Amino acid sequence: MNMLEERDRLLKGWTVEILATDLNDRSVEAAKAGIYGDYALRNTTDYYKRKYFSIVDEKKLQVLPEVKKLITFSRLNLQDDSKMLFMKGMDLVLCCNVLIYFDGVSKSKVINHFFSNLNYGGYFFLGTSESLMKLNDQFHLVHFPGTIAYWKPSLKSGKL
Amino acid sequence: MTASVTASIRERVQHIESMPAIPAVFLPLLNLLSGSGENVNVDEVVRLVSYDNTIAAQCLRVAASPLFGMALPPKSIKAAVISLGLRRVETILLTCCLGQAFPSKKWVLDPAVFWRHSLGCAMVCRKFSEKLGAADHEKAYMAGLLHDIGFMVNCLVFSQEFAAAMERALQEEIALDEAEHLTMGFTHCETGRALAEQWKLADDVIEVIAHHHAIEQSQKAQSLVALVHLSDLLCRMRGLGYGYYERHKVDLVSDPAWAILLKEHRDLEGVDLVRFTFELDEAVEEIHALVSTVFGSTLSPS
Repeated sequence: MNMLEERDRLLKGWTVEILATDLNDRSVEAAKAGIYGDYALRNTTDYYKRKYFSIVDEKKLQVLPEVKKLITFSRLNLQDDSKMLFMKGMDLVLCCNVLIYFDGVSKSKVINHFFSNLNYGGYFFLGTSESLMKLNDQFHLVHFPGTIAYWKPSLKSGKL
Repeated sequence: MTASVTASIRERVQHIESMPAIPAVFLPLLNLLSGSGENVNVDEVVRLVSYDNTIAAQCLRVAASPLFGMALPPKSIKAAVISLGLRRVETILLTCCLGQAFPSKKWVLDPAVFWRHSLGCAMVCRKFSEKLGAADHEKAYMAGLLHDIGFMVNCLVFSQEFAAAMERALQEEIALDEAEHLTMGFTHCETGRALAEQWKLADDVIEVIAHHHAIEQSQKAQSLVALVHLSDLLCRMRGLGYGYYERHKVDLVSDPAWAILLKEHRDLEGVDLVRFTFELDEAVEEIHALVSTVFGSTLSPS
């Protein structure tokens, strides 16, 4: 939705494709349906609710097809090396509160996949309070106002 | 910047001396605290503070705030010194005095926002200093607290010029020092330095005030300047900036200041910046409360 908001400004000329994955088939189906209750929408503003959702019933809203069509939903095991190896060309990876379930070795492996799958200059976002400390020293930790991200430096910056 | 501009800033800053709101105890205390600390004794600090009941009372309230860690308010300045240590009480006093040092005019920069940034930076500097095992954490606190006093000078003596700089920063979402350069031709670093020299602050604190946006120019206190520079950046990224959205990407580890600190403090490599950032976030509310406590009476109603 944020990307649709920016398609005529910051993202003018961009083609946006989003790949949404989960290990669990039921979670993938739920994401495809795109139906959310009050709690899930507690941080969504009325502007977004009116513009990008339809009403299902008193307590539930559903994401409009124009948003969903940007997204490919699929099941993925982040530890499946053969699949992870071929997911190249990402500009942005968001992986919130998933790595906390992995042991140290698995975490490092998944993070290395994310790093190599990202384009130079791409960003990796973790959940609040998650850190890559002692897991990866290739990503640069960068601060934006109110947000922390991990950055794969661009080639021209000479850092890689 | 030309010598004539520097001279002009100095001349205009000299008028600040006549401001009525500076507590009598402020400058002597500042001089006392700017020294090495070896010759300062408790009785001298208590004697100075007892001249000003407002500051003494405020000091005791601040000592009990979560930022300074006393569970119950101490009953006297001397009791606070015994519990917290002289250096810590000195910084509390300095914080309180500074709150009264500037008149409650309607400033170009919202005073509450300014004090939140200054106190936030002071706290981050001290936490950073503790993590690095640096020698003097309270010196780091003081440097953080005072690093931007040039903005006060700008509000008081260059209000029109500074208003234009502030407007430009807001419009273009750029750093305030960059906007000052573009519109005024000088920054709060130069005006702050003029005031710091007039107040005869310690050389290393003057270096911080003058060079925290250009560390490479620092000759005598590069490590302290680098510490304040990084803390300042971090505060601005975590809601303790100047009250507007600054479009900025900050890579602290690639900043030259990081390399300077790393040369002296190998412990820096072990600092988890994500965790450090969240420690700062947890303290933001405390800082807001502390600003109301210390500076509440000097803040103009908004």
